[in-house]
This record gives sequence, C-alpha cells and structure tokens, in this order.
Amino acid sequence: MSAEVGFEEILRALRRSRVRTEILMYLYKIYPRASYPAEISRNTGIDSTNILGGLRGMSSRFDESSSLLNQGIVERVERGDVTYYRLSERGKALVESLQKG
Amino acid sequence: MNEMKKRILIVEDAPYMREMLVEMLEAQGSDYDVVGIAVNGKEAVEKYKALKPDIVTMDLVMEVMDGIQAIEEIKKDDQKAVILVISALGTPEYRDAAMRAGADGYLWKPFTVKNLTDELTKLVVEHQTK
Repeated sequence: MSAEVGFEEILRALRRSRVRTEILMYLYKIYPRASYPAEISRNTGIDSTNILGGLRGMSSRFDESSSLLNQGIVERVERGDVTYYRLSERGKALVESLQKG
Repeated sequence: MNEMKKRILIVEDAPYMREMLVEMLEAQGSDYDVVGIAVNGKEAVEKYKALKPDIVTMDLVMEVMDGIQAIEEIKKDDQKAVILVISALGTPEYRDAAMRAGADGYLWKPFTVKNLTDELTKLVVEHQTK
C-alpha cells in the first residue's frame, strides 16, 4: 500500500471523529512540542476522557484500531511520571499532504 | 491578491484554533485583517452586525449558539454575508447542513495555511464577480 493511499484511509477515519481531528490539529499547531491530555483538553475545549479516547482508544467509545497512536500519527513521550503526546513525522506528513489538495 | 485588505471575523470556541487562525491570516501580510473574534454563535451574530466583516470563518460545535444557527441568523440580517465554515465535523451531512443554512464554503480540519488561503481567495473571487 502506498503512503498516499494510507493517508487517504486515515483521513477518511478522521472525518468520522471530531475528537481525533481536533487533537491532530492541535498537535500540528504546537509541533514539534509535545503536550499532555489536560493541556490538550484546555486548548481544544474537549474533556480529558475523550482526549484519551482519541489518543489511545477506549473500548466502549473510541475504536482502538483508529486511535491516533495506533495509526502512527501521534507518538508517546514519557517524561518522569507524565506521559506526553506529540505529532509524529508521519502525522506531520499527513497534514502537509493536504497542501496538494 | 488585492490592494484592499479583507476584513475577517473569526468565530471559534477552541483557544488553540483562534490563535492558529490569527497567526495564519497575519502571516499573509497585507491580504487579511482580523477585525474581531467571537467564541460562540450568539457573539458572532452580535459582532457581525457591529463590524460588518467581509468574511466570517465559522466553527460549528459551540455552546450558547452553534454555528448552523449563527449562519442562519447572520444571513437573515445580511444575505450577502460571506461565511466559510471551518470544522472538524467531516461527514457530508454536516457540510450539507451548513451549506443549506447559507454557508458559502466548508473547510475540513485538518488543514494547512495553503488550504485556508485557497478557500478564502476562492470566496473573495466568487463574491467579487457576483
């Protein structure tokens, strides 16, 4: 599967989730900085539980296979006891692929 | 694009997106001037009437009054209002609802500065020729 086809599939999945899309857009804005769920929540206006669902999946409400971590769009950064998240190179390339469209 | 700056009203409840839109538009130098910011639909209607901007960028999911209602209210007041919806709601149903309410364009998140300026330029050109 080519990278472009992969991106199209990811974008189709994103279109179905406002939460995942807002997280992606926020992490794109602060790239290459990482952020933690409470900060993402404050800046997007989406509650922390849903932010975690979008990032990692949550069996009941957010399909884990479509989570941003699972799709390789976001990566986890452990600093001490805190887990931060940042846009991966693939995530950045995904957003920037939209320049063409 | 044009020697006349286009006056923009940003309607958005998420702090990061308000900041991002201002940064993106200011980076365009002389093309756009952000004349106001509203954090919900009700404020948008009030600020539209007071500021009469050339273009409104409109979020859809907001408390107090959502974007669809705000579009309807603004268009009721001024049929010539130019409104670009910017939303993370990516299914065609939302786009159709916004366009039925009177939106002139719809930009899905995620987007880049180029996507934004392309949409704005398209709206400016379309509304100059009408």
